[in-house]
Amino acid sequence: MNRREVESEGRSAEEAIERALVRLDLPRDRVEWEQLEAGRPGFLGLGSRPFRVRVWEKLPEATEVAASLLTEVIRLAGFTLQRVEWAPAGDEEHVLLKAYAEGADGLAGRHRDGLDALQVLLNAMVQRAVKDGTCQALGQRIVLDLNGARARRDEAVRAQARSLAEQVRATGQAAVLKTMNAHERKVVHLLFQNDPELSTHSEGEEPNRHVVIAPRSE
Amino acid sequence: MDELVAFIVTHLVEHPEAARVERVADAKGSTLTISVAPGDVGQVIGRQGRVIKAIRTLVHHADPRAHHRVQVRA
Repeated sequence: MNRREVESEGRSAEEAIERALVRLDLPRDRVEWEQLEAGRPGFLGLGSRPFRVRVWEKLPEATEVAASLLTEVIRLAGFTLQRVEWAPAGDEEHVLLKAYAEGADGLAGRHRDGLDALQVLLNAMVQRAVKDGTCQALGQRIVLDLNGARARRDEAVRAQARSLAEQVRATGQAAVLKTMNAHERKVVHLLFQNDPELSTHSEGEEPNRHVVIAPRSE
Repeated sequence: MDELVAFIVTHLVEHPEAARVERVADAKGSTLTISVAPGDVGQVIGRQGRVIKAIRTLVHHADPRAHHRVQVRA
């Protein structure tokens, strides 16, 4: 999609922008602009030079687009998205989207595979919108939570990891957690990243990759 | 269900105008056939089938009692 932009002139930058807004039929907060030429007021029209600006439609934020795509997907699945909340996801590459839709827990699935599916599709749709130039770039992957299902699942993963860690501390022998996806493995790695006695690493090939908890060697 | 899949597919492909979803009911449930422009098949399937797998999973969870099969063709 081509971005909508116009160039316009006026006796001041402000006037030039106002004229451009009329031509674009957009409110001021939906555009961005740059000055192409600084004009001069002159005197009685003598020696005056118009200000020239370029004004273009500001693309919506990827987060806005993501929220509206999710709203529509949830609606078509038979539910109503009531609230979304954006939060840091613990690292630079991810951002957490917490969504709430009454009665939609079934969509997340008992093993949360439905939630992971929604997350894959949401990220793919946002990347398409970015590629089409209909929203700004996001630069982060969205981690999706629905009605707290992911938070509860992550806590269950931490509980399993803590319990296995106790065993590793007691026996001094490395031990293996059950197969986990990339997100769950990261949850475990983060849990032990500053542990003076234990270290974690992943082994095996997707989709059977799992985390090993081992005593730190000297 | 057709609408849900159609919404997702049209927001994944480069040529949404060429995307269609057809449903044929059968004894076990139904088959949803996604048709897209030849260059867009990869967008709907995804790397290692991640996207089509996600569509199937979502379709299943959105209507767990029905048996919907989902297939893609150019």
